[in-house]
Amino acid sequence: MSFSQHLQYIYSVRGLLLEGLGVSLIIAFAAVIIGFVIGVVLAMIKIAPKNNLFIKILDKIADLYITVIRGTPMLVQLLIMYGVVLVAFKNNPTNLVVPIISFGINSGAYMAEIIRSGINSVDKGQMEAGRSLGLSWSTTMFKIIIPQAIKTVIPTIFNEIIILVKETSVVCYIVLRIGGKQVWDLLGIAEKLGLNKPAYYMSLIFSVAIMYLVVVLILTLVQKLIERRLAKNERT
Amino acid sequence: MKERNTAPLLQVKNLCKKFDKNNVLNGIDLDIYKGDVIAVIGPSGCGKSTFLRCLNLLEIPTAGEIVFQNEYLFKLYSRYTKKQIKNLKRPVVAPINASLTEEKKKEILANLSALLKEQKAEEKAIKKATDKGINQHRQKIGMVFQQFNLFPNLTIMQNVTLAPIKLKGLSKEQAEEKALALLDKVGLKDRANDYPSALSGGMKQRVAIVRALAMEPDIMLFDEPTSALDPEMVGEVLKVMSDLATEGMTMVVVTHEMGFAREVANRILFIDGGVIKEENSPKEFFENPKDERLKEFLSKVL
Repeated sequence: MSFSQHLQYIYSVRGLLLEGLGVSLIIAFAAVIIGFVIGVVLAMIKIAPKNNLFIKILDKIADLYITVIRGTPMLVQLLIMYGVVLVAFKNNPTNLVVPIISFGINSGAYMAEIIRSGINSVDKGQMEAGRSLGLSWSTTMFKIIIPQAIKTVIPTIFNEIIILVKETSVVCYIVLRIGGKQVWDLLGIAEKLGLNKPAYYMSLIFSVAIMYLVVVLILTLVQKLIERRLAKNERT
Repeated sequence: MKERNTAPLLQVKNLCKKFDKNNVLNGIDLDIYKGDVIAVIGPSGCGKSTFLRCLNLLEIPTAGEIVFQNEYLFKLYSRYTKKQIKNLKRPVVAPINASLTEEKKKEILANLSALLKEQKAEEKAIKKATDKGINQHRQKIGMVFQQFNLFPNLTIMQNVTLAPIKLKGLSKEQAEEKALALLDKVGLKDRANDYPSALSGGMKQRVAIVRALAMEPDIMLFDEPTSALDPEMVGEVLKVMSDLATEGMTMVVVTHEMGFAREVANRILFIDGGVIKEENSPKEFFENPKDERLKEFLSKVL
């Protein structure tokens, strides 16, 4: 079989591959948002002054969460979510919520550590200066500390987003449905097509690799743009 | 010191601070009156910065009282430790209780629990007032840091107006107008829209002073304001500070600038080993020091 035949085949299934990419990206980006929100909340709990029992309990819960999530493989977490925790959603006509929540929860643990380290990297004097003016802890945190922390965490956050986008490919281990119809993620659809046409299997896998690479390149570009924007007030 | 008729603005009683097992402050007593300019000097590591940071509770003291404008900023009891209480509650274990009769023990315990209850209630009330009030009190206590601590993500104008807009309910225009007037006073009106990274150290420190002044504090704390500056920039910052003193601002200045202390301050404290070793007027302090450690210190720095 010639190279052009491979190209032709890939071209003929482009719609299915792009659909798969769409499913992957929906899962990834919804999970990123959930992960970011969880991450911010956990990071706040971790760095808040531990001056009452409520915060102390939350802190222990956050510790447990981060330990468990970072200590177990993503695929195992997904299978547990699919089979046990979110089993109620498993047979819904649209069950994308299962992988979205699973990946979001997973990402949240990593985001929490990233955001916490970013906040800790801001000079202690900034909080002291804010507090000495009479500003509350939270006002100083959101007006002064976090804007500075964002700048330092952008590269690591994007690292995490990129890892997450690629890691969603393990979702092909579970059955996905949108509106009652079964759908596949990018790798899933490639595997399925490859089963029927084993001769084209490697071409399909290469196509998947290229499509992921393009997505990651776009993300890298977005990261650069954001970094440039944030660097604005450092210029003199 | 001459006697004063008015109540002190800020009163410090038996202030102690421990970091782990390291005693940094060992009982400092000081009354600060309106209009005082107090220079605090001492060898490094003597606790003078810690003392200053305790005054607005950036460091939480481990014992003592701070009274600001007749309200408790801080008060802590150290009459009974948890261990002492535990031992009293377990009369069999504590050997001291073996010689006591049952009735005596009961009486002590009854009194103790009443005392503890009282102590707890008072502690709780003060803690509540402190937690709630500390942000309000801090609005009245300006602080200037050695490292300036300007907010690099905000312009000079935003640095100065952030707190007044947030806390004093000023409109943006009002706050900016006030900020410009203050910036003009320190000669930085035309830098209002720059970011701190564009300014020299001396300018940054002047902005930091303006930022604190914008809250119209009743007292200003300066934590070695010129120590991080190039020598040629020290003068411009000291000038702003002495102008401020002339206007009648109450100031506590931790400094190594002996010239400033001598000319601008009306009281000078020498802190060593976490206690005030000597307090005097500048003239007496420099010309007629009494404490041995102070004599040694002055012979090295003058």
